[in-house]
Amino acid sequence: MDRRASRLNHVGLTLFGLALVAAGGLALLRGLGAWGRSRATEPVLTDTVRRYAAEHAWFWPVVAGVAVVLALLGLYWLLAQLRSHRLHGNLTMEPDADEGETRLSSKAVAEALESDVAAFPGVQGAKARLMGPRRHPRVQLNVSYDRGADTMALRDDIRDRAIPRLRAALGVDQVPAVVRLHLVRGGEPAEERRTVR
Amino acid sequence: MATHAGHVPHRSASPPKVGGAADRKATRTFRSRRVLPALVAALLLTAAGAAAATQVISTLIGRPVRIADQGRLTTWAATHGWDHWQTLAIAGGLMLLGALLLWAGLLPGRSKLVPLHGEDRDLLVGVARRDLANAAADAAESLLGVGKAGAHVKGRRILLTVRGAGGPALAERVRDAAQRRIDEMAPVPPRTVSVRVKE
Repeated sequence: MDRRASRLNHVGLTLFGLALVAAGGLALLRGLGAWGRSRATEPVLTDTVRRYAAEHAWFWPVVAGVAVVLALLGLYWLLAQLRSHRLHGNLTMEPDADEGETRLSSKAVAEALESDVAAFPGVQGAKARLMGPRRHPRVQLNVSYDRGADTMALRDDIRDRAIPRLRAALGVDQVPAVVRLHLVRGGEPAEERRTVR
Repeated sequence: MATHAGHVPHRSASPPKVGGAADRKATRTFRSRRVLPALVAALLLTAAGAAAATQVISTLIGRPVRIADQGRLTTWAATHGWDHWQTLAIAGGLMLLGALLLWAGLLPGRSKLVPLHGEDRDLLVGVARRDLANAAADAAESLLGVGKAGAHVKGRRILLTVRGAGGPALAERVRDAAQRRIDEMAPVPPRTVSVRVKE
């Protein structure tokens, strides 16, 4: 649904993966003697490195800073997975005139859409969610639909009847909709066909 | 209508023209978001960063928190060479983990939802992969002479297995019916039904 999180995951996984492959690969090559025997047998932590860290006051604070930045990046990445763009509470309609504004509960709008869609032929149930941003709301619809029924007809019904009413209710020109169909058993036609056999 | 002209995959009279802007958008929308590998990687990064930061900062301000035994770690690193098997194992493990994350990040990932063809960029419809297969199986089962039918989607094909006596003629009829049903739904990309009849 949220393509921004998807792109972040693509870039994040690729960069993190590359960094780990590079670090592990270089260590492996060194251990296997790619840069000579003496460098392979050298301890992982040499006295030179320890002395360097001890002699430069900035060393550990910089390490700490890098660790903090990495932790914050990880946290940002985690939160991006959990963030939902669902709209809650009241939607403030754009005021036409100067006299006040109209408020509309996003739940009421979603429920009205659900009952609209549930009344279409073949629909067994519908669940709607309004998603942000508030000025350009989107809608996500989960519809349980008869397995044997016409999916094109449902699409036409949603486009020609449900969406225009939703647009009118929200007072916007466009409401992008994403519909997830779940095909379920039930409904008369399927039963009839089965009894023929 | 059902001719017996060999095993040419059946196509309905007017196959839907898929691949427009709306279809491309639907394909992107229903593609997997790689949430699971991203969660794992993000957790790892956060945990490693936080642990390192806590250890170093607490030591710097003179109140060391013991997340790891620093003394033992230092001794280990100072006494084990790059060619020690433990070092090599850690390096190999890191590389393997990196390769897995890279794989998850670069491969497009398999989505559970199959987009259905449409012309409107503001109305995207998807159906569960499993439901698409079930729709083909249902169409097969509605035919006279067909017992149980099972189907699954594999790439651009829907493999349909039916029980019934009737040989190639039955297979042809089943394929026609199932393909017609699938073409009505118009998945993107189009799927071709293959039928296997079990006596």
